[in-house]
Amino acid sequence: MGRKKREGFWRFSSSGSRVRSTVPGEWLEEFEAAARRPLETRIRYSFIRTYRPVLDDAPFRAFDTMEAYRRWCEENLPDWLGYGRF
Amino acid sequence: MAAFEYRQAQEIRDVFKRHGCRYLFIGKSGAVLLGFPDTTQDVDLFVERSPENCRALLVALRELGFALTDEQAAAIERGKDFIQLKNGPFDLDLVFAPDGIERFEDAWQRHVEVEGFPVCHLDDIIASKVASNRQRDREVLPRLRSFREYWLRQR
Repeated sequence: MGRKKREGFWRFSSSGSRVRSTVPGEWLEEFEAAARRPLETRIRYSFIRTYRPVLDDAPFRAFDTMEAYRRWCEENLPDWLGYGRF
Repeated sequence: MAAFEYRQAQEIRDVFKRHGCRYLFIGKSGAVLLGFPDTTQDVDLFVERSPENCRALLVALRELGFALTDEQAAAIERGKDFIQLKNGPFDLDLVFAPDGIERFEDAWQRHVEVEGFPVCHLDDIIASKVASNRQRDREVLPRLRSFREYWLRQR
């Protein structure tokens, strides 16, 4: 038997009327499941360790401005890491 | 290096508190502390940029086990906008001027405490990601905004 799909939840708008939440049911289930876990477990599930080329190859970097950091990322990191700006 | 652990978060909290260093968890690591279920690698801390706070930060980082040269220590003391540390027990990004947030004090007024961990309000985490406007931020924003709706309802 297939699992019944959830449609999100109801909430009250600023005017007090009852409106359906826009949170997709699948995400809502994940949020609720996470809320039931202790913080220690949430951290264990969330923090991962993978090698990221270039980014992980220096023990220390410092940038005078955020703009300089963003530019460095765009000029040096592989596109697939997702550090490029739109 | 192993992934970041809860006990290391506790160490940050306890050591920074002992040295009086003002900071906030920000970015996806902050969202995780608020309950957002997703994966991340680095710990991002938004640190108040004042001479005394930067000095406290430096002492705290060394106590946590970060091996800093004099030159690196000087960069931290100066409070450069963005510092990436991979020379300690876990990867740590120090952000002194996150995109989308005007002043540390503003974020501090809105911040949330989770088990003693000072965390940026989700609105500031989202504002920062919107302002950064990177591919990786755009990808996570719809889910993060949905989580905001859920999170605000639970509070």
